[in-house]
Amino acid sequence: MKNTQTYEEVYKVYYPKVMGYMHSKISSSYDAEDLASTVFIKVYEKFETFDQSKASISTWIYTVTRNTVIDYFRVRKVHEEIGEEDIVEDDTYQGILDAESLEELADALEKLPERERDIIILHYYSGMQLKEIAPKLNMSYSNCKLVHNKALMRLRQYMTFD
Amino acid sequence: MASLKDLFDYQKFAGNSRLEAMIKDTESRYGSKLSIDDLELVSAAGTPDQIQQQKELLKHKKDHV
Repeated sequence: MKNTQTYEEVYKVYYPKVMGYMHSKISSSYDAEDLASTVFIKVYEKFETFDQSKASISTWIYTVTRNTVIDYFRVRKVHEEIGEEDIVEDDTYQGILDAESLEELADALEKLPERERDIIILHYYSGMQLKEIAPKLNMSYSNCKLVHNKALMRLRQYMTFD
Repeated sequence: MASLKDLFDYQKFAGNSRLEAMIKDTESRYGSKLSIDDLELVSAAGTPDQIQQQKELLKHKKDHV
């Protein structure tokens, strides 16, 4: 399927999203801007041949962005956040990550009790270990693990995830 | 199938407004994790106690000039 948007339109829509992602991963503004430029060079190079029937533009640009960040950390031998197993060699395989899947996640999270939702967000979004979360929520580590498992079971009732 | 980690990572790119509101609510109550770079900045600037001590010292000096 041919691209329905021009490169300029795509750049305008996705540059803020790419920068937002970069800032969430990289504290240096200079490096973040530099990497965002790298992302859009890669996007520009493949834009004409990109096939929208394989993946949405959003998913494709996200995957290019994510892999660019992984390369950045790999070069600097920093692996605390992104492991080798996270590297996606194929730019288009993650078809499931789309706006709809985030809406589904939002629906599911809204149904959780506040404490369970807090644990899920702090662990999976903020990247905290359960050991770090427990004292913040004024609970024991073992109880935190228990509530975390309960939250996962409840989430699985509302949505499907790996 | 995507994992929860993948979905939340994608959120950092896509910025779903409903998720963003929930994340902001949680982080406003419990804070977000400091990165290694953030910790280095804190270390370079001194501990919060030291900063407070310096402020009090300056105030004390001003009051007695």
